[in-house]
Amino acid sequence: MHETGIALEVFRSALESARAEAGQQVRLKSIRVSIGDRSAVDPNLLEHAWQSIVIGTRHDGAELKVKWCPSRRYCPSCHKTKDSSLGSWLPICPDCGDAIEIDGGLELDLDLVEFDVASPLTKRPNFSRTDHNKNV
Amino acid sequence: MSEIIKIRRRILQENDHKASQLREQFKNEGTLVVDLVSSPGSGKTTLLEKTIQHFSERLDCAVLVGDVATELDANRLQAAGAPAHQIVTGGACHLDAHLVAAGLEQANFDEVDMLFLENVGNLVCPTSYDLGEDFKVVLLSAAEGEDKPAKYPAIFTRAAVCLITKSDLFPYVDFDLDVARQNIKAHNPNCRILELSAKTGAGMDAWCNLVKERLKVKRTVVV
Ligand SMILES: Nc1nc2c(ncn2[C@@H]2O[C@H](COP(=O)(O)OP(=O)(O)OP(=O)(O)O)[C@@H](O)[C@H]2O)c(=O)[nH]1
Ligand SMILES: [Mg+2]
Ligand SMILES: [Zn+2]
Repeated sequence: MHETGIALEVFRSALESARAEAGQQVRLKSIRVSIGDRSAVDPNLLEHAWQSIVIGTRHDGAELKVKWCPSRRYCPSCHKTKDSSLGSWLPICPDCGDAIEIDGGLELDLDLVEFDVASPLTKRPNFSRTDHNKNV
Repeated sequence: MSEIIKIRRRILQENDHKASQLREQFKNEGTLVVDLVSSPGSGKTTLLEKTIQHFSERLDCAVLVGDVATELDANRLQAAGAPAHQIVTGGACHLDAHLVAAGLEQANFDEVDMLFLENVGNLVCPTSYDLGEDFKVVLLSAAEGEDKPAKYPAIFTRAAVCLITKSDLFPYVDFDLDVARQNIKAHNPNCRILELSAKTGAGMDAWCNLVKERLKVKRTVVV
């Protein structure tokens, strides 16, 4: 369950970027990340992990939006692009069984951070370098 | 007032940055670094014990070993004759580059020819983390079943080497070696697959030669 570690890293860098832009008083509102289908990160688990991080902090309610990025799968034998929802891990054409070319799907990116410049701190978000690695 | 800023950076940028620093350091020191990944109990520590003993006269090895709790594995590896340092992750299900860097600092090993990183027993989470290694090795033990590469494809896609371990158990567990090989090759046609038994020693020479070759290549490549 390394999604917790990933979510903490998103939180840490989003907050850092927002603060660099507008100072300490920012409140995170929504974050967009890109997750590839071959990145070994589960988007649902990531969203759950995110919620458990922001809950009870001044960023409570901040939303994590996941942009799902399917890999591009092309079969040179069929001359066709193949559906990436099916067995994206296998580099084999589901129709003819030949080797296909796979491109992309490895995204694990922080894209956008939306934040309010608002009210004073109520409760400090609990994070530190060691906490990043405490996964459940 | 609300603002939106574009970031566009890797989520694991800090880890990747640290891993690049480590890779550079290992290159300068001429140390081959191998990351061993498998589910709990596939035989990582036993393999390393035997590997250390195999090289004892010829090459210097050291091990950083990650576990959620206990120093048992580091003690075993030290008993096998190599400097070993335990990283107790206290819950984390994988090593990351910062843990490796901190572990190296604490361990303060002399310069070695080979550094093995025994990852926390887990087939999923270590996949996303670059540790500055030369390559990842995934272990699949005979008793786990030949379908694991299909069920946990990410690590099998990224490992350069797959070791099918505990080959002495083949007759007892109905392990279908051909299916296992096909499953691995289907996901990663370039993967080197070796079968071995750390218990009987079968296949250990091929594994040790492989790492020795990789060390040689690393040291002769002038970049
Ligand atoms: N029969 C047989 N048993 C083995 C072999 N290699 C390891 N074992 C046994 O498998 C068990 C687990 O081995 P370890 O080397 O501790 O496995 P590990 O992958 O380091 O385990 P974790 O660090 O807990 O993930 C031990 O009881 C070993 O004695 C082998 O080649 N054959
Ligand atoms: Mg072990
Ligand atoms: Zn085809």
